[in-house]
Amino acid sequence: MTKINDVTAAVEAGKTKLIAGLVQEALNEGVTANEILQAMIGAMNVVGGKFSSGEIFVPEMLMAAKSMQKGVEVLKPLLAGAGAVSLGKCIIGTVVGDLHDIGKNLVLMMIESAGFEVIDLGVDVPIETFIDAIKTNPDVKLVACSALLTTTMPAMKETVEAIRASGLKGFKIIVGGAPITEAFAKEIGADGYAMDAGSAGVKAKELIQISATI
Amino acid sequence: MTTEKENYLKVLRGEQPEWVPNYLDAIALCMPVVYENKVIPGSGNPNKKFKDIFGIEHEDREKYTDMLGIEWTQTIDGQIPTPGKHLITDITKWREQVNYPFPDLDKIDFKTQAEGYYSVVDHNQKAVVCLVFGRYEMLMDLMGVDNALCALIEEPEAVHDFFTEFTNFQEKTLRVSFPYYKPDVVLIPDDVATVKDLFMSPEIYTKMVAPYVRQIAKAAVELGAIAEMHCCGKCEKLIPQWIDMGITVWQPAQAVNDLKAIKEKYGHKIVLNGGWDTNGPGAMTGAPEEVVRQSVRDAIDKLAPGGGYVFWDTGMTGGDFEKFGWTADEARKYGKEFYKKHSQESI
Repeated sequence: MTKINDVTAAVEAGKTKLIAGLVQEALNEGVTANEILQAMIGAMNVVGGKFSSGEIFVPEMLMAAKSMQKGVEVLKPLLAGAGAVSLGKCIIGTVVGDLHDIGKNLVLMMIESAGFEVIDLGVDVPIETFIDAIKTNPDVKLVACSALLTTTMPAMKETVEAIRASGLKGFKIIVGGAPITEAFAKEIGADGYAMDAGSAGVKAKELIQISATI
Repeated sequence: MTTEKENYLKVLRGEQPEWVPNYLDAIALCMPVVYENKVIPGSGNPNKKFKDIFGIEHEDREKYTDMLGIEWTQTIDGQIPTPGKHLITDITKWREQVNYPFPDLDKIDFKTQAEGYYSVVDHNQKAVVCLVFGRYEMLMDLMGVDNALCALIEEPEAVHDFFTEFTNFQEKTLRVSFPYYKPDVVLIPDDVATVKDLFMSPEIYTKMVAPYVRQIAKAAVELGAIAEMHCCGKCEKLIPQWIDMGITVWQPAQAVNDLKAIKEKYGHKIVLNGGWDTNGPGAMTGAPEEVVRQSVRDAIDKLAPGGGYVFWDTGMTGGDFEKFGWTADEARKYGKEFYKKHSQESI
């Protein structure tokens, strides 16, 4: 299992140029694609924790995620054949009136690295687009809404309320963004709040696990 | 009678002001034009118009391209690069992917430009603040935040190459336009922080960004201006570096930083411009007038004692001009009397 340790270390260190070779070596050693994937997801958990604690910064987190993406590219053909399952679909977007994609993109990356299949609706997303996307993807497990401005917080509230009012069920709603607080998330009826991209992946998985036990 | 300009410049020079300056009453922004922005015809909403910080009217969601070729989208809260459109896909090929070479500064008539500017701005009444481009900001605008941050680690030599060329161009722009505009302050923007921390480690900032900020700050001071840093977010750990560069003012000094501790630690080595809590109750959409006014008084009460402070609401009002009116009015009323009522707390 030495090669899988190398893969884990390479993801954590953001070794984008080495990862593909290391993943192939691990496969050659007999490690299954799913085991390698789980190891990389574990590595990204560590990276997210380090980011949230201030031990590393955004570039290091980005490089780790890029490494994982490159590793997953090697695994993809094998994972499809092995029937590997993702944690589920996540629909993400920045709420209407807000064009900022910085936080949304970082969160997207971390949620994807946590094992979700992410559908990115982009920025300035009208409420109806969120609802249509949920209808189009009835197996969605998570809806993530981002807002960077205090002036678009009301749009986030309206989005969450409209999704609830639509009667669509079977998923959790997570919110975040610079002016968003846990108290605001609760107030508007969101299921979860992530204070930063590092904790978003962990929170997303936590919500899904809670969801699965209900 | 002391003007708003004189009172503001007293603060910047570490002298005793007569009142707490309200930034927007004291200054006029200038930006020597080196390349015309080109509005993309048909973009924007003609039914929804607003004015930017220079007083120029735009349509909401109007798009234009700048001197480098970046496409921008105007919004009520300011302009941002059109999401998802990145001019540079490979920083090692930046010369091929942006409009380069940069404009020939020797062919630009800054004298006529400045005369036009001063036909509407009274330099006796307003301190003139000259805005230059940010280096890291520009990299973000060209590549997107994630690609720019990765480039700092993956392609440091190419990033240095771009920063060197771009900063040299900026310095020359400042030097050739300075004799005509004669700004009091040179404002150096570089938003390298989030609401929680810096985007990049302080070590990467020191190695990759700081040398170029220093170059512009040095030129500003040599020319006789005051060097001011603009950096939103929680960036207080960079203050020692800025002071060392000759920067003596920091805006928008947001409340996510421990501003009181910063004042105690650095004293008049760094003037705080801002201080209004942009995520506080007064900043929320629909905040009642008294809550907004109290938020202004809170900022002044917290940061004005001892001087070295300029009030600014940072314009984060989302086009809510009524709120702009409340913050400005309260800053004038409360700020004007502050040092008279708290004479023992003046410098």
